[in-house]
Amino acid sequence: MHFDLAPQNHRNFNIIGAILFRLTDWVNISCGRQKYNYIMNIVFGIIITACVGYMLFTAPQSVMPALLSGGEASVSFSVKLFVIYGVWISVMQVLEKSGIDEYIAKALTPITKRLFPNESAECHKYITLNLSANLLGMGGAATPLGIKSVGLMQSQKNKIMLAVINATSIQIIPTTVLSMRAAMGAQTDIMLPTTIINVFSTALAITLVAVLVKR
Amino acid sequence: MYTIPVLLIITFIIAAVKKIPLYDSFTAGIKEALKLIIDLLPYLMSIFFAIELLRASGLSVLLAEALEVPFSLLGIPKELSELLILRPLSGSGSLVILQNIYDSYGVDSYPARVASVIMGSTDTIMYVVAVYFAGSKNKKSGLAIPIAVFVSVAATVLACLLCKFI
Repeated sequence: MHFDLAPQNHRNFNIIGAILFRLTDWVNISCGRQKYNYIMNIVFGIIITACVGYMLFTAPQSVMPALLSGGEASVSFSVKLFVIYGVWISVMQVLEKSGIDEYIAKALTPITKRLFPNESAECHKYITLNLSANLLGMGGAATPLGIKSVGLMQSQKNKIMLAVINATSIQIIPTTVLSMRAAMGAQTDIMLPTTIINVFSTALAITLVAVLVKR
Repeated sequence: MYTIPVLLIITFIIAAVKKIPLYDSFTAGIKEALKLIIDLLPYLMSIFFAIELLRASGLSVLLAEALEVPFSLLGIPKELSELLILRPLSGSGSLVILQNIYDSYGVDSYPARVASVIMGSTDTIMYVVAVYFAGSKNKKSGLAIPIAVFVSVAATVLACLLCKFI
């Protein structure tokens, strides 16, 4: 899983003007880390402005209580997430020290050689490590490896292939979701449908990039 | 149900075979988790503000109603509208919505199971594509976002269908 810990940008802008400008801007031009923050700023800006604007006329007395209860809920939720991550990051520490990600990376090399043709051996090393970290659900480790491999890539098609494979999720076991469900006392299982959908979406993503993207 | 304990015991056996100290790994891992959560809390709280305002103003109901027709054509339950809007944008934000869906409809309900599958089989498209291409000389991401969005929508529709049977 990838976390959106993009650095804060300190540019202030007029909301409505920025919405129109940035939306067209974002659709037309490429998407960088800065642009990602713009998108979140737009979405967040629209939501809170619309809500408070609407409540000004319907329920002005409920604005602050809503913020307070939301903020309090975020603290208890982050305590829960802290415990879940405490368990899984510890497990990942063990798996990382055991070298399992490098073992998987080695096993993936024949596949990545076919998926990403005409790239250097160094680049392939980063691609396989990125994919194996993602398969294991180490999003934090996967992101810098992915950035590094895209930086080393020559072919635009290969860059798009790696970004799309990563953006459509290839994690084998969704540990956070499973833990949240276990904490709620879930009786049903979601592993089977999740795995089926994951295989389907990765296969579809690879096919679409192979067919639609030139060069 | 068995996934978590099986995964844990495999890890512990690997640790025993490779002589990796478990206690040290756990203390180090929890320290990492603490750092991650401190980084994450501002994002979580902001998203909680927005979601609580949506609820309190009643606009989330209007939003779900507005999306009901296109969603029902695709076979997607309308309870998932907030999740589907936030999923491509924010990993922490969509976890918040997922927890809300569990709380509102019950963890074994149909919307909650579909939401779990979607969380496990899609990712934060905008963030991944933006960050991956930020390090590249040629920053044009081309068809990356359209393809990833199309694949995620297809995966969502299939997940809704699959969860009716499995």
